This record gives sequence, C-alpha cells and structure tokens, in this order.
Amino acid sequence: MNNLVDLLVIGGGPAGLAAAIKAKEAGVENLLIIERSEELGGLLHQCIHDGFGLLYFKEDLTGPEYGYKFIQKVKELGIDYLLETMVLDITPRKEVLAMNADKGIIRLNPKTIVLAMGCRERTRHNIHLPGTRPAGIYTAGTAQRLINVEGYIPGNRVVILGSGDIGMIMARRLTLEGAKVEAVVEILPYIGGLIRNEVQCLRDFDIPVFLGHTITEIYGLDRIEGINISKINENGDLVPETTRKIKCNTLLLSVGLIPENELSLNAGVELDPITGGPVVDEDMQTNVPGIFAAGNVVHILDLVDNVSWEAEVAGLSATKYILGELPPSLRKIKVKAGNGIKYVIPSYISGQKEVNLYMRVSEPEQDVILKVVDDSTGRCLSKKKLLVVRPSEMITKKITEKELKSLGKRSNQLILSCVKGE
Amino acid sequence: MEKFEVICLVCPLACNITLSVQKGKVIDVTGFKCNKGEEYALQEYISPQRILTSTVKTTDKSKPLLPVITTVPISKKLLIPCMKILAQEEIHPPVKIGQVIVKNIMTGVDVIATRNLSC
Repeated sequence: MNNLVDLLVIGGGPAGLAAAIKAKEAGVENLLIIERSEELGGLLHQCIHDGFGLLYFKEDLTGPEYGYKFIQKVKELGIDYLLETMVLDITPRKEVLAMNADKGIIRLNPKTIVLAMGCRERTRHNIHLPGTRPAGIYTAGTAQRLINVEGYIPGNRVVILGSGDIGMIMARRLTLEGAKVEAVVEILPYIGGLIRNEVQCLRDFDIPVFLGHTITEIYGLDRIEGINISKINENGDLVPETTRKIKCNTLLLSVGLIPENELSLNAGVELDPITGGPVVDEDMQTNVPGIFAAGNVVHILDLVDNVSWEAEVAGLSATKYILGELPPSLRKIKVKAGNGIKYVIPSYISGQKEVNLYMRVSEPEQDVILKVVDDSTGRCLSKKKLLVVRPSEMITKKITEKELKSLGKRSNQLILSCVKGE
Repeated sequence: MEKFEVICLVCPLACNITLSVQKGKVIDVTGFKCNKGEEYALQEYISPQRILTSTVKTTDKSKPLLPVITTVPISKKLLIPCMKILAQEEIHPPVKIGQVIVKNIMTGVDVIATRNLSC
C-alpha cells in the first residue's frame, strides 16, 4: 500500500463506494477505502429485500445486488481498500490513525477525506424504555443481520417498537420465517416509514398496528416475557386506562438512526444539532477544508439511490480539491429550514452554481407549496407544488443557475418553507 | 355491495382507491388519479402479486446463508408455500449472482441468487 494517499474514504458502504468510484474516474490516483467489516458493501448485504436502485439504475434490485454493482466497479477500477480495519482517530490536520490485525497501527496523512461511516441504531437506552433488562431485546438492524446473514431467528413471538422502514421490513421477514409478530407499536399518530412498506410488510400479513402508543413496561427476568403498551394523548401524556399487556419473547426496536460522527468530532468537524451530521456546503465539504462527507453520516436517507448521488458529489469535490480546482467560495449563503421544513442539506451554498437541496418536512401534509425565498429581499427564487409530503420521504429541490441569478447582492440566507398552498 | 380498499403503490402519491364489488364483480372504482392506479387496484383485488426475497442455507460455515429472489412477482397466497420449499434447500458454494437456485418453484418462476459466494 502506498502511504501517500490523496483521498481516504472512511467506510466501504454505499456512500464510500460511490465517492471512491467517482473520484477514481475523475482522475484521483492514490485512493484508499477503509472498511471495518470483512467485506465491502456495508449494510446492503443484510438488506436482502428489493426496492433498491429504482431511481439510480431504473431497475428494482435487492440490497446485495445494488452493492454488487458498486463493488464490481471498485475492483475493475483497481481502487485500493483495507477490510477489517478500524479508523481510531482523525485530527483537524487530517492525520489518520487506523489499525488492523495484519498491519497493526496504520498512520496516514491524506490530502482529502470523505467521511462515509454511515449511522447506527438508537437503542433502548436512547429512548429510556422502562422495565426489567432481560435477553430478547434487539435493535431491528441487529435482528436483520442475525436472520439474513448469520442464520438465527431471535424469537417466535415478536413485538416491534417503531414503524420505521427496517422495523416494518423485519415484521414481514419474521412472519415469512414462521414467527408471529404480535404488534407494531408507534408513538406517532402515523406510520414512520414508506407507504410501500406499510402495505407490503404490515397489511399483507394482517399485523396489528398500534399508532399513538408506546411501551410502558417490559416484563421478564432472564428472557423477555411481555410488554405493556399505553396510548399517548394529544398532550403527549400516557392514558393509563388504555394500558394492555402483550405477551412476547422478543422485542425489536426500530426507533431511529444516529449518524456515526465520533471521528468527525475529533477532526474538528462541526455537527448540525438537528441532523446529527456534519454541516456541509453544496460540495459536501465540511467546515474543515479537505474533509467531505456523504450519506447517512450526514443525514438519515430513506433511499440508497440518493446516498449514491450525494456521495458522487463528495467524491468529485474531493477530486477538485486535490487538483486545486475547488477554490474556497467567495460567498456563503446559508440555507435555512423555515415553516414546515425539518432540515435542509446542504447548509451553505455559494449561489454560483446549480444545486440540489435535500429536505424533510416536519409533518405529513397535502397540497402544499415548497418555496425558496431570498431572506434579504423577500423574493421567491423558486417554488414547487407538491400534492403529498411525508416526513419519511425526502424531498429533492433543484435550484438552477438562472434562479440563483435573481439573488440580491447582499443576500446571505435562503429560507425554505412548505406550507398549505392557496 | 362490498367495499375493497387499496393503497396504490404505483407512485409516491399513494392514492386511496376504493373498489365496489357486487357478487364478486367489480362494479365501480374510485379514488385513483391515473389509469395505472386503476389497473393496480384491480390487480390487487383479483390477485395481488409480490416479489419474494429470502435466504437458503449453504454448506459454508462462514457464510451460512445465500440471499435469493423470485424472478417475477408471485401470487401473495403462494409466499408461504414458496418459503417452505426454500427451507428444504441447501447450496454448495461457489454461487454466482443470478444463478438459478430453485428451477420452477412454480410454473414459470425461478428463484435466483442475489450475491456471489466463493468456496
């Protein structure tokens, strides 16, 4: 391995692979991917269901098939990668400390880094679930790995807390494998994941869904024996008279994902309190020059297709940085989430070139208008009518160069809003 | 007259479509915003079709499972019967992505591998 690395990609999942491929194709010679597991592809290997690649490849692929296309490309292009290797530290000067069983300690000082570490699941402790601490409580993704990769069924009477996509997909998977899913319990008054999964994973198998409910007790000493659920009223208080007990021997938690940014913090990368990921500009560059980020490490995406596209931007930007073609932008315009919007990526744009904005709404809504407003002049740069919006489905909005030309000279902030249309 | 509700999955609008059924015959379809939606709702009433993805056992201890998929969508009613057939299979690597694992699991439908396994 060459110790002179131009671009170091941390993480060999969908984001890391797409960033590395794009950079290699754009001319970066010394490129290295570091991956902590035993193969490239990340979480895609355990996502054996279909529905991947409908946008990016215009075909319906399973997770392993989607990953295979990128892994093949990495191998064809001769991109170097290290497996079973853990990055321990990154300093603000981009000094990287990593280790593996073969080489021991590895020190690198790459010109650029793409952070592509992905995310991890929220656990029981993140959401303060009360009750005893028996065996049989898993995060949904861990159960997915056990069932689809390692060949174990965690239990045969299952309750799933949270109606995110992984939770619903596991409800179907467990049912197909012969387990009984007793309930899916969701604290919000609506399903958290995609409608496709609500229909094909829950309704298809008549799985009971309790919306506006949460778990108030866990029973069992050695192994989980059951749970209590209660309704939550409009004020967010428990309604004790609605409490019911559900017997189960397994509880899966699908209660959200957290971008994995311990390394980013060491490197001095500023994080956004809403997304939990790095604050990035339109080039997917963080506040530390030469450190870029893409995928679930930045914000939680619902479709891998968008991860790949976002990572290609990061890979291409890193390439330009290496070649000295990515000058610090003369102007920094903040992109802010206004009414009805939870967050927008990127946080900053230059206003000089066309940009894709990715955002999520705060609440499900119908017949809305998405507006991009120049805060200094109050002028609307661009708008889009949307018939249905849901927090589970990311919205993409392109702002063209032409639209950006109408920005005021002193404009330093764009505000995005999504409100009921007139 | 019976009502049959379908959430359309053709596009992200996810229309709520209602079929009115009398003596097993669809007499009215409402709630769709495009022709594809109407077609989808009728298909969902007559015979809903689903892709099946699952795993089969392998003889490789380090990779004990091979992910697989049906080549085309199959009737929803046949998902569990197909799972029972797949539970009987055991595969000896190597396996190539796309390789047929179970030929004709039902008429005209194969089950194929969705990843490579080396030996």
